[in-house]
Parts: sequence; structure tokens; C-alpha cells
Amino acid sequence: MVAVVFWVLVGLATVTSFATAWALGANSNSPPFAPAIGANAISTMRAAFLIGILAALGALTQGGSISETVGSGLIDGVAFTSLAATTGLLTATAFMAFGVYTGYPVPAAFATTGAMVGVGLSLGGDPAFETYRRIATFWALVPPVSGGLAYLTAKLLRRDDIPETVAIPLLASIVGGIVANIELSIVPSPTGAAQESVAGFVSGTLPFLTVAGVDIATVAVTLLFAIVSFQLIRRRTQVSVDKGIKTFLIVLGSVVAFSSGGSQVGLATGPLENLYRAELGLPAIVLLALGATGILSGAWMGAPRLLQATSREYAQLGIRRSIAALVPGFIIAQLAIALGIPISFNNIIISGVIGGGLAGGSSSISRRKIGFTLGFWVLTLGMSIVVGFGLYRLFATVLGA
Amino acid sequence: MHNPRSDKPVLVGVESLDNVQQLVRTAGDLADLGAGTVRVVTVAVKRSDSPFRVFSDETIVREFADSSHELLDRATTPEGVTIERDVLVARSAARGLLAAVEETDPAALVVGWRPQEQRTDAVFGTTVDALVERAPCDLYVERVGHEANGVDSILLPVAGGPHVETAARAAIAIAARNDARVLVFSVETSGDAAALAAEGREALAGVDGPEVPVETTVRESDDVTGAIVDEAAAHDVVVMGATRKGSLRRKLVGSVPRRVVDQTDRTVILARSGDVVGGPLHELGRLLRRW
Repeated sequence: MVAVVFWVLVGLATVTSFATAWALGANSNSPPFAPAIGANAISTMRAAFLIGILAALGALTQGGSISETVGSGLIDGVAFTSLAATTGLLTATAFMAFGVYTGYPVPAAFATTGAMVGVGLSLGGDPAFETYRRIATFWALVPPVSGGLAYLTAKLLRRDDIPETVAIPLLASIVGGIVANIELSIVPSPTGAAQESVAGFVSGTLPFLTVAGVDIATVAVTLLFAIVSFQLIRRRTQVSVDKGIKTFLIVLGSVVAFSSGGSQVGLATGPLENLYRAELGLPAIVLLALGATGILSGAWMGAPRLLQATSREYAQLGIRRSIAALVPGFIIAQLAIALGIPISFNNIIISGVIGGGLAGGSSSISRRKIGFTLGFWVLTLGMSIVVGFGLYRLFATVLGA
Repeated sequence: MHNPRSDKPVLVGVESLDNVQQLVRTAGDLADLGAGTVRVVTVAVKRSDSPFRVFSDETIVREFADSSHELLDRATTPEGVTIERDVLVARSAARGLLAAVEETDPAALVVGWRPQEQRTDAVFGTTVDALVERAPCDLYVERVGHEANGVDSILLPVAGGPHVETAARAAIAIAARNDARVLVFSVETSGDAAALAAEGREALAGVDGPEVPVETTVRESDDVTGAIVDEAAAHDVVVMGATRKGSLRRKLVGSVPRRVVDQTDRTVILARSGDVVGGPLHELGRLLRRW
């Protein structure tokens, strides 16, 4: 009987996790390529195809850190049982479904984090205050940093005294430099870490290159990536500014889609970490593959429709301000992945679009709508803790666990 | 609900380039019976996951609603009426149109409906369903794409119910502007067809508008839908009440009108009276949905 209940829960949890990943893939992956479609740099169907592949790759190679935080970093002292994992997922999914159905802003990251904290406390675990502090700080910093970076980028791109043959390659070099440093599970680590970046790999292989505390190899590889990116895009912009910008939009869209997958998958797979890895003894990649498949199919089925709707909006925002919104989106998503902070990609992009939009001068934001949105985010977080806590109590009592 | 010679405008909600003019024309016909004003609105939908939704409404209308302006530009002014154009911002098309109804207090709302939306269990797609259920004014749902090319004859099938007067009003409005006739059509199933037809004629006579030639036909048949569909072939426009019965909330549109729409290629306009929407429950729902 106990075994039957366990396997039913494993099945239910797996299906829910897959469905959540599907929903994330369908709903939150349109921004990366929407500007490129709006600029006619790529067709909608091709973009949707690429988004699915890239987001799934991102999920596979970068999803581990946030998944781990969600699965084991939010609560101390207890491990999530199959019932707890299922309850946490169901709670989070119910909140997201409520958001999709009613049209209220319900960020997946807040719903999942809240649900897992609620269930964990209900299990008898201790709150991991240090983790909460880090997550809360990060969340609070996202709007000003993302918005601010987007504003500055948009201002830079709008300046007449800086030609686009300089500004666009400059942004490309920043993106390239970061790409050298993003940690991927497929890059072998000389120091034995689970994930490693290209720069880290070189530096780990050549450890003697550290002078006065400065890791020369990392700096060199980063610079190399930056310079190569600069040169590639600069050549394209010199041939034709329009072509260069379009190329950059596609490259930028690709790395953002990749990052989006890496930062979103953990919200669907995190709750199952303990169940899959400790109880079933499966390697981490199995769980991430489940999430990646969900994101892939969600993106392929849902993204074309959303892309058509959103690409027009980005087209009206204009190429410069769209780039300005995406660059910080990429930086912050990668930072969140590096720090293992669950984050809704949509929240990052909103701030970026606002920042880029305000740089135009004539746009204004609605305080009422911002207040309402922020209020709903906080409400989502609070309510998901309460519901997760209560629901686990209920299930545990009913099933006599 | 509809005052004779109402000074209220006729509201028309548009969301697709293909049928703006068809709907505006119907709204123009209706407006000519009343205040002579048509207000064309379209909703710039900003869903909760759109990063653009937090801009102020003015910014969205000015900078992020190109397709909406394109729609409104497509509307040409029908003869004899004045036209107002407006872009609204909302989370969904239904929400936006309901807000417009509340703000405008129109004589009637005209919306289009395209039959291929069969993905959901909604009768006419979620937007039109929500409007049928909640819009507190006379509502006309026009099946778009089948625009009558010159109107000589309008079929008004009647079977009692709360929407007869609303349907009659549209029949008169369209007939008056096209020099067309109206045929009141009733199918004999339980012996009251003659009375129902008389009720239909009365409703037509009650509309405060120009004189329109009216004829009556009562047909004996077991197959109501089939009889109406057959008759419709001889007419250009079919105007029907949405249901026979009252405001049963779960039953948005009766089965006969629904089947007629599927089986005829004529222009079909379903009429739903504003009188069936209201009451304390509706008010409560409205308050709850305000956000």
C-alpha cells in the first residue's frame, strides 16, 4: 500500500513537473526573439523553433543551480518527501494556472518559492533565513538594476555622437565576455565542480597563471571572447548597420532564450530534486531532461502565437530600446543562475522594457499598474506559503503520513 | 432598455481588419434609428505577462497600439451618421468592451464573431460569450465574413422570448436604410405559431422608426432549424433572438439559433436584450471583476 502511494505520487509529481515546464516554455519564452521578429530579422516559426531548442539546451546545461536551491536550499533540516514535493508543485502550478486563467500577474518564481517554503515548514523544517535574505535582496535589486541598465543602454544607443558601428559591437563585446563566464554542466571542470565556464576551464587547467590574486587566464579568456564578439559584429555593422543590428538581435535573442531556459527550468524541477536524486537515485541530468523536454514542447506549441502578438509591441518599441531591454535581461538571468536564485524571467524583462521605454522621453508608466503588479507579486509569495503549508498538513492528515 | 429615439450612441467593438466595415455598417443602421452616433472601439490587449502593460494607458495608446489604430482607420463613416473612434487598454478584449459599455452607456453594442474558433467549449469564443453574459445593454452578435451584398429582404424568425424586441429593432434599422422588407417567420410546432408571429409584428410596429414593409409567414414543420435555414436562402440577412427563454445564465444562446448560424451562409445577426442582464447577482459579479 505504502509502495503504491509512493509510486502514484512519483507519477503525479512527474506529470505536474512536466506540465509546469510546458507552461513555462509556452508562456515566458517569447521576449528573447520578439524584437528580432519585429525587426524582420527572422520569421516567427523559425524563431519559435530556435527558442524551443535553445531554452531546452539552457535548461539542460544551466538549470541545475536554481533547481537545487528550490529543492533543498529553502528549508533546513528536512528533505522533501514524495508527498511534500507533489504538494509543493501542485500549489505552485495552481497559482500559475490562476494567473494564466484570470490574467493577474502571478510570477512562477514567487509561486514556486513560496509553495516550497510553505510545504517545507509544514514538514517541520527550519526556515533558511540566510537564503531568504539573499533571494529577497536579489529580487529587490532586479527592477532598479535591470531598469537602470536598460535605460543607460538605450541612452547610449540613442546618442548621435556614438556611431552604431561602435555602440552595437560594444554591447556585443559585453555579451561575449559574459558568455565566456557562464557556467555550463557540459564544460568539464578541472577543479571538480558540477558546472564550469569556458573561462573557468582554462583557468583551472592553467592554475599557475594567477598573479597577485588576479586570475590571468580568466581575464584573458573573457577579453578574448569580448574582442572576438566586438570584431564580428563590428564587421557586420560596417558592411551595413541594418544587417549588423539584425545579426546582433538574433545572437542576443539566442543567448537570452538560452538563459531563460536555464533560469526557468528549476521552478518546475526543483521540487522533485530530493525525490529523484536521493530517493530514486537518479542523476541530476534526468530531472533536468524532463524539464527541458517540457520547455521544448511548450515553446514549440505555445510560442508562435505569443510571438506574433508580442513582436508587434517590440517593433513599436524600436530596435534600440528592444536591445536595451534584452541586454540587462541576459546579464541578470545569468547572475541569477550563477547565484542559484529562482527568478521569473518575465519580471526581469518588465523592468528592462520600462527602462528602455523611459529612455525615449515621451513614455510614462502608470503608478497604479506598477503598484498593483508589485502588490500581486507580494500577495503571490505570501499566499503560496500559506496554501503550501495548509495543503501539506491536509494531505499528510488524510493519507496518514 | 431601448428608449425610442435614444440619444445614446451605438457602440461597435472591432478586432479584425477584415470585418471592421461590415460591423460599422450594421452599427450605422442602428444608429440611424437613434442618436445617429457610432462609437467604434477596439481594445489594445495587454495581458498580465506583457512587459508593456505597466505603461500608462496614454503611452500604450500612443506608442504601443499601432494595430489598433490601423483597425480604426479602416472604419469609414456610414452615410448620415457621425463616427467616433477610440482605443481602450485592457487585459482582455471582453474586459475592455465591458468597460466601454459602462463608460458609454450605449443604445446597443455590436460585435462580430467568426465561426472557426472551435478550440474551446465556449459557444462563440470567450470574448463574445462574456459579452452575451455580462454586457448590460442590447447586444448584437454578427457572424462576420458573410456580408450581404445589397439587402432586399430580412428574415426575422420569431419564437417568443425576451429578445424579440431587440431583434425587431435591428430588422427595422437594416430594412429602413436599404429599402428592404422584413418577413416575420414562425414555425408551427405546438399550435402557438400564429400568436408568436403576431408578437413579432407587434415588436416591429413598436420600433420608433420609418415605415417598413412587413410580411408574415407561418410554416408547419417538425424541424424548426431546417425550416428557418430553408427560408433564409430567400433572404439576405437573418436577425434572431439569442434564446427563446429568459436569462438562464448557463444557456447563452439557444440551440436553434446556434444551428441556424452553422447551416446558412446568409448574414446572421443574433440579438440579445439588455434587460436580461442585471439584478443583484450581476452587480456583485461586476464589483468583483472591477480589477
